[in-house]
Formats: sequence, C-alpha cells, structure tokens
Amino acid sequence: MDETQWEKLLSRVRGHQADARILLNQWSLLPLTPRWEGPAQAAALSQLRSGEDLAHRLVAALDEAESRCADELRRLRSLSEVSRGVGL
Amino acid sequence: MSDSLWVRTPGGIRVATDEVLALLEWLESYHRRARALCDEMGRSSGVAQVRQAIDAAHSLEEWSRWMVRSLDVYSQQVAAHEKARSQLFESPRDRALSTLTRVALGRTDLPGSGVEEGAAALLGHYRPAAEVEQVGSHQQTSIPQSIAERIARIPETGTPIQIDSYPLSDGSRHVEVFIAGTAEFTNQRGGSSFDMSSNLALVAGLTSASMIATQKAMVAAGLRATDRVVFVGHSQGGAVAARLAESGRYTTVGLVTVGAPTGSITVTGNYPALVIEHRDDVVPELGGSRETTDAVVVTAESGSLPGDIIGAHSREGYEATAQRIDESPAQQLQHLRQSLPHSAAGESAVFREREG
Repeated sequence: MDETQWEKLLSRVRGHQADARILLNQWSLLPLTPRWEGPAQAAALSQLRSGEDLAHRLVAALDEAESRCADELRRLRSLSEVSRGVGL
Repeated sequence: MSDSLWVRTPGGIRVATDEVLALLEWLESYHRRARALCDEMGRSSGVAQVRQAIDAAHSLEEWSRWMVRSLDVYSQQVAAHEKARSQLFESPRDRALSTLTRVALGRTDLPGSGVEEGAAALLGHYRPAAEVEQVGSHQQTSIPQSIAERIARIPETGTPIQIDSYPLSDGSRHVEVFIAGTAEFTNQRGGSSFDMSSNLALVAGLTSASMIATQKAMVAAGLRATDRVVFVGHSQGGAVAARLAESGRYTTVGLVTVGAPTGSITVTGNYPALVIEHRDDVVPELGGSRETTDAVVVTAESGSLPGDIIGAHSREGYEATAQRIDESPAQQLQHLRQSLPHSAAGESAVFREREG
C-alpha cells in the first residue's frame, strides 16, 4: 500500500473508532430495571455484561489498529522524506 | 402472575413483559449498528493492522445477533404457549357458554357455535336507533400528551361521548373521540343506547345503538372525511371505538380501548392500536377468546382487592395502568404517543344520547 492508501485506511479506522464508541456508550441506555437484579435474572445479566466486555474489546482493538496504521503512515512519510533528501 | 405489564405484539407474534420487550428492542437496535460497523470494517479485511479489530467487531456482531435470537425465541414461545392456552381453555369455554344460551332460549337451530352467534341469538330481532344532543363545549382544549390523559378524558356514562377537534396546519383536523361504557344494564327501549342490547350487538358483530349514537355525535361535531381520528373507549365504549376504527368510514390514526369486550373484533387497520385489559376484569372475557389482531395488547393486574370486580373494571383503575404504560421503556408502547401531533389546541364537545 502506498502513502495515500494508508491515509484512507487511517481515516476509515478513525471512523470505525467513532462508531465503536457510540456502541460502547449505548450501554448506558440499556433498559435494565431493579427487577433485573434478582437471582432468576443472574444468568441473563451475565450474558448481557459479556456484550459490554466485547464492546470494550472492540474499542481497544480499534485504538490499537489506529495506532499501528498511524505508525505505518509516519514510517512511510519519513522514508519518502529521506528519499527526497538524498535526491532519489 | 407478576405485577408486570405483559405485552402481546401485533399478530400475537411475541408475548413478553414490557421490560423484556424493551431489552429486545434495545438489542435489535444494537445489533443493527454492530452489523453495519462489521460490514464497513470488512472493506479493510486484507490489512494485518486492523485484523484484530475486525475479529473483535465480528464477535460483537455475533453476540448481539445471538442475544436478539434468544430473546425472540423466548417471546415467541410465550406467544405459542398463550395461543395453546386459549385453544385449550378459552375456545371450549366460549362454545359451552354459547350452547347454554341457545338451549336456554330454545334456539339450538342457529348456525355457528361461538360467543358472537350466542349474542346474536340473545338479541332476536334487534333494530338499533339512537338520538344525540350536544350538552356542552369547551374552547382551547389541549391535545392529550399520554395514554393516561386519553383514558382520563373518557366521559361519565350520563354524557357518554366527547369529541375533541384540533385544526392542523394543512387545513385538516385531528379529532379524538372518547366513548364511555355501559350506562344501563337492561334491554329496555327508550333509555340509554349504551345498554345491554348494544353490548350483545357489538359482541355479535352487529351495528349497535351506541355505535349509531357515536356516529351521529361525530356528524354533529362537524367531522369531515379528511379528518384524522383517534378512537378511545372504556368497556362498551371500547368495543364501539374498535368497531368504528375498523369500519373503513374514517381516517383512523389511533385506537385505545380499556376493559372492553373486543376479543371478537380484529384490528387490521394500518394505525397504532392499544388494547389494555386487567387480568382480574371479567368484562374483556365477555368478548370471547381473542382473535389474531394487529393491536398491541397489554394485560396487567388491576391492583384491586381480590373479588373487587368493579374496581378491576373501573376507568380510574385503567388510568393508573395507562400511567404505567406511559412510563414503560418499551418502544412498542410509546408508538401511539409519538405518532400523533403534540402541540395543537382545539375545542371539545360533549354529547348525551338516548335510544331512538
């Protein structure tokens, strides 16, 4: 991939980060009432909370992807500056 | 049974408490968003740096799909259980009541075996007629903001019909028709048209004197073909509301019935419809077992003392249940409120009636 393609990918990943944060924030709107705190609902609550963990994991994975794509772009840019500097 | 609101969605596809329904609605919305993100991220699938994030997105999408499916299956199983219960207990009960009625009247020759035919047999040669008179009006009536406010506007049985009209910016009007329940528990002619003959006619699927009275009041209130109408009724008024909403004569934009014998009245129109019944109220049972309907049906305990059948059927009791519906997190229950105009001001007319 060249520099332009990495720029596009980084932009896309940043868009995904924003969407993933919306998904994570949506957990604050989960319609749970005190009724859901009873022992009968414990298994269902555990299943629900695993979804929130997955949302956290997605945000962390996208943060990591954004960082790695930004590193790759920086590396390509510095390579290209070096190339221009030595007149290649 | 718990004190939860039990919700039956249109077509009887799902039955669940409003809390489970709200969770299902939330999960469906969440899954749609997760799937869209997953599809979008799929465009970068060949890049090693984002592979882990794509895997995480797939996990979230699969989890939300599984959760939606699990809750959907649960609510469908409850609906199937409800249907089986109705077939096992309610339909034979209706047939037995109908047969007893025919035997008592010596009319075992009548066709059919349901509550509708039983009611028709009781009526004999029924010729409905009614007269109405406007007895009051209010200017600057504000449009109801909730289901509970609509139930509170159902008038007393002495003046059983109230019609509120709100002019809209496009030249048409939004109209709300509020209809009270049975005024006289007799079949004598010349009294109120909201009597037992009307009850039987409504259950039998015939035109009742109370329907005619309501339609005459709507004409007297100046209802036009372009007006959009919400029908709201308690008890017999609820059955009248459902029959008029489904008649095809009006541009119905909403229907709310409380404690009404509407089991044999199928709602098929393309408008939000809400049927509220107390589990300990006997009146909804008189309409027979419920046919498949496109209305949302909410059942709840009335909160009345055991054996207090008047309390379980009272309009005030249903108003309290409607408040719980207004506060429910389930979107299905907010549909009617959200779909209607909010800020219009208009006028209100109140009618009394008598059998003609």
